[in-house]
Amino acid sequence: MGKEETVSPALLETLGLEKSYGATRAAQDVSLAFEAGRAHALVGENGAGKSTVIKMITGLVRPSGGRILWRGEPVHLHSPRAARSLGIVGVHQEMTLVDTLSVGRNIWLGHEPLTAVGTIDRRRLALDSERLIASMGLSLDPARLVEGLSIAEKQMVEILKALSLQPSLLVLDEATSALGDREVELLHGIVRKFQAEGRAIAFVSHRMKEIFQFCDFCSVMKDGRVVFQDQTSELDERRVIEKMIGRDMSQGFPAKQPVPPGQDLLRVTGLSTSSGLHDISFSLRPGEILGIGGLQGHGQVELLECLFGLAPATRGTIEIEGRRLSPRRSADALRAGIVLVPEDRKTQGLFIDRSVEENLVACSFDDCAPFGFISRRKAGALVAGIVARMKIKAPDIKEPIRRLSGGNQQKAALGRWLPSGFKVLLLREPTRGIDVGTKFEIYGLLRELADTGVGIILSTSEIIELVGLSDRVLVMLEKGISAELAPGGISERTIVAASFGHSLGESHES
Amino acid sequence: MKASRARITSRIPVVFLPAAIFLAINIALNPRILTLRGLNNLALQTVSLGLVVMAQTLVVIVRELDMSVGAVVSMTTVLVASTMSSLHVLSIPLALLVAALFGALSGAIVAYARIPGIVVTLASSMIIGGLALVIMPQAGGTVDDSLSDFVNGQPFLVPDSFLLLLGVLLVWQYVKNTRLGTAIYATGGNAFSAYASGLSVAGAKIAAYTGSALLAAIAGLVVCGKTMTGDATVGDTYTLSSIAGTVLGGASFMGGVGTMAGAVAGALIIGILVHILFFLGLSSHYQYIAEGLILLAAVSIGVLAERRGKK
Amino acid sequence: MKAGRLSLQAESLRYLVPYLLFGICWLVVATAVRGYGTLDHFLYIVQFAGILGLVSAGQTLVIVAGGIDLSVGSLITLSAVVTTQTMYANHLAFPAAVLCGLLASLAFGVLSGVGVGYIKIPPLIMSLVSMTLAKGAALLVTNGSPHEIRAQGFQDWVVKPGALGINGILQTWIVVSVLVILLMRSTRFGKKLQFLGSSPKATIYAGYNPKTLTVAVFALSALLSGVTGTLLIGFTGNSYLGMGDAYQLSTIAAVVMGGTSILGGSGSYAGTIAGALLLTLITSVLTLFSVSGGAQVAIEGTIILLLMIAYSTATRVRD
Repeated sequence: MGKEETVSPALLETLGLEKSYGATRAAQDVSLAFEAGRAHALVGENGAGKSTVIKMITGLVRPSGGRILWRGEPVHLHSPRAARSLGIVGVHQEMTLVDTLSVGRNIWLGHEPLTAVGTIDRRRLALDSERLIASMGLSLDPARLVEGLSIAEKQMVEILKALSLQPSLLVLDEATSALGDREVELLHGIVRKFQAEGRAIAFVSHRMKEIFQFCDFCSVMKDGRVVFQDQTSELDERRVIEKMIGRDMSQGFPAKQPVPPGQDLLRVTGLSTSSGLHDISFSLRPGEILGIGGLQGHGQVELLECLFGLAPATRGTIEIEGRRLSPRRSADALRAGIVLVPEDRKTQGLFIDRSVEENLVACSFDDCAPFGFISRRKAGALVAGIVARMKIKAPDIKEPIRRLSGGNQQKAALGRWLPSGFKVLLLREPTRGIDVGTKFEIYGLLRELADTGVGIILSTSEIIELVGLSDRVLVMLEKGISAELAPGGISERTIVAASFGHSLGESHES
Repeated sequence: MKASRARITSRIPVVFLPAAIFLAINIALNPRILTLRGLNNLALQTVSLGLVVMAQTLVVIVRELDMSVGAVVSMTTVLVASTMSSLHVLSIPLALLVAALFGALSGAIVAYARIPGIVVTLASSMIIGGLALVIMPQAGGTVDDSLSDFVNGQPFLVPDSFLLLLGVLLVWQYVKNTRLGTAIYATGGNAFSAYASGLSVAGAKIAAYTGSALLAAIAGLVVCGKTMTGDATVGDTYTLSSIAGTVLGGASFMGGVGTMAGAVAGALIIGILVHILFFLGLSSHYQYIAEGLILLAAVSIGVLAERRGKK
Repeated sequence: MKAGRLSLQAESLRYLVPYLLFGICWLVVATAVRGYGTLDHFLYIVQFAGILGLVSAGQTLVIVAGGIDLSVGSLITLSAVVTTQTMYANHLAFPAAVLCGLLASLAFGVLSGVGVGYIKIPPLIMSLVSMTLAKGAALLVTNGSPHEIRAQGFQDWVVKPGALGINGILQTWIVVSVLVILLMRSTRFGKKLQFLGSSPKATIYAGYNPKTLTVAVFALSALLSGVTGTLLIGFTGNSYLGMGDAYQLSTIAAVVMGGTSILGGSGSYAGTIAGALLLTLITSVLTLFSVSGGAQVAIEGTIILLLMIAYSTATRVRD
């Protein structure tokens, strides 16, 4: 484990930490040490358990088992406030800034310096903010409203907010996803300062570059466990990725069929939108599964929404079966045979408080209610058909769909479109938060659909899925296409590399 | 695009511009207003409206609405007019206390029962307004000269009630700069962020509703001092006007944005508009239409500006 | 299977409760007060409840769709006075006059719907705007002095028991009730309204147009208010400004008492019917005991508040 090599004592140690949600073990037997003066990276795929561990050490979630030691003493972190009182401060993926307040007010929110009269000491707040900002090497005006900041700047403010609490252990959980090179350099400066001051950093990230730039130690998690740990000086990027995703899952995927040659089903040329997409061009053939990869927030959502009519294009064309299409509303896309299963099934993809039955007929009123009145017979047959085809486990279809498991909910979100006879199926993170068994059921179904001639565009951050399912992969970077991977060139390595803008045709640079 | 929110904070001086224009039009129509007496009358009428708009603004800042503002005004006049003969000066703190209790209760229900403030205050307006009618079915009661002297008196060439408004503004300046004030603005701007940053969202909402009720009660005191009677229906028009004034004053329904100075400007605009309409000789038949159109315009502008700003 | 039956019961239970409450109140009143509890008394209550129930049908639909309509009272008035005015001043035949009245209400319903659906003004505020404008329109149209009507045939139909022993009010209420319940349960439009109130964001992903849905539901509510206004002039023979005001907040009380959630997404007009009956019974008893109008409003408000708190806590406990 490498503990014998530690010179400085561990500030925070977890021993055999465990977290279960019902029957699901999100994390088990996690033993980590965060040492003073060191930056410790925690890496792993989606669902590997990193976030769960982070939430436990920042007090957001209570462990089901194991112990947490702070400076050698066992502690119970029952709330973020308890963690903060010890000096453990977390910066999470979800922003906690108030757009309508200034940078300075956001940094000191909840712990502003006060005057003798009980009012906020504006001058000291401004001075303290300037000092803090300068110490980080930034040049941000503390009086500026957060609303106008870029996401990178906002993330920096979140970090400043954490720094203002003077943490002994700073936990950064995917808090740097939008930072550019300059900001990463500044972050490096902070890390160096922490190291000099004997403070500790826990760093959860997908971004290999940063991990190797400023972390001393790296732990890899997979399926809820810590599977590998070493000094970063002994590691390289390739090895870490291997440890992260090396898995034997590839045999579970349905066999890919070669895509028959023929006319393009969907052709997109030079597409640009006001949401930031620029010059997207690609085509989709019937029977093809086109994967869309890349880091989060690089335009995948915008692309799908544009195709579905939720974000009209400013330039470029969309053609389906040779006919031009300019969807301005979801109904336009539906009429053309394009359907979308959105990312968030709770607020977008389903009517979560309505019954299973109602959800399944929600997109098929033309079939079962042609004259306005819903025919119970037709609706019943339709629902039964979807339930059977998707193998949805719902003991009572009149119950709110909220009661179904995530996997069954997702099956419903997808299944509701089946009767409509769509030509193009757009999917966004279709297996997020779903158990493994159902994941593969859905994979099988997608392949079946493709085999009937449907074209599928699958946008997912799960590299395994991209590799296992896609006939071709488009990797997006900064709202444009970074690479198009043809069959035979699709692998975890090539996808991850393209996500960062590298191409692996050349020799490895880690 | 980026500066939209920043523009909101500088929108406040801008909001005074239409107020000044309207004032100019008013003066043109009715030069008599330029006398000290005319200005004083105008100030008097604006004070109660200004207080009520401030009340609504406070609640709008936490991203809620208060439909009971008018009812509190009525209730206050009724309580004061009915108890002043027996309690004399004490009737005033009594009325304020009752209002504060109602406000705190509404706020608590909104915060803890998680019911939207609009409907909670709709119900509470029925309760408060109904009770006011029970206490005083017909307008009447007695009001000591002391109150009306205070409200109408002009020791410094300006009605006392105007000074009252300034006093309220000063108090707000203080509150705004405390952690509570920050909590109120933060809760309205992003309740989740406020919560995640350790602020008490419930506390902020309760404070806003209590403050709103107090401000509406003070407005009721002013009205009572002016009319020398208690009337359970006097506040009816104030609720809608408070919403129009709030939006005109630059506050946003999305929460987190709004100032009391803007509220006063919004009230000025409404007050002067009414004056202008009156002097244009529009029959009272057009009164409702005018009110409705003003409210529609104000709210539409507010909502559309919000959406454009979001882009 | 058993689970299914249970869950169905749990949902319908919510709307059964107001009927139970009505039954209990009825029994109490029948035993305590002389002259109450007879069939005649029941019919008497029912016809007043019918007026409230009719206008509350529109309110139910709007609330289920996630909104609220505070203009119903003034739309009742508007429809009534436009009808009488066009009959009196423009000498229109009664049916044409009624049509004018209904169109006038409808116009404001569409206005509300456009404001809420397209401009995204909060429904409460937009409906208040419509209320104010409608009040002004009523004032303008009648020049301050609304008229009575002379349509004996209509008035007789409304008031006197006709087919099956019930009068025009009850006949209309029964027809509307069946239509509205059918609408909510068995039409695609009704389902879309419930979806809209339940998860507004999900409607565009399902391919619906929330804007047109909103306009439609507010228009329906306005139409029902207009119909109520027409019946009211048949009932009283008269139209006067402010005749609909009392119904404004009572419709909300009836809907909430009927078990429909104020937040929208789920609801039943069957429940509102019971709510209207219950509210009318309570009001009549209060009037009997000379409880003042102000106190009645205060009691209504308390009931609404307590019910909202109860439903909100119950839903959260269940989850």
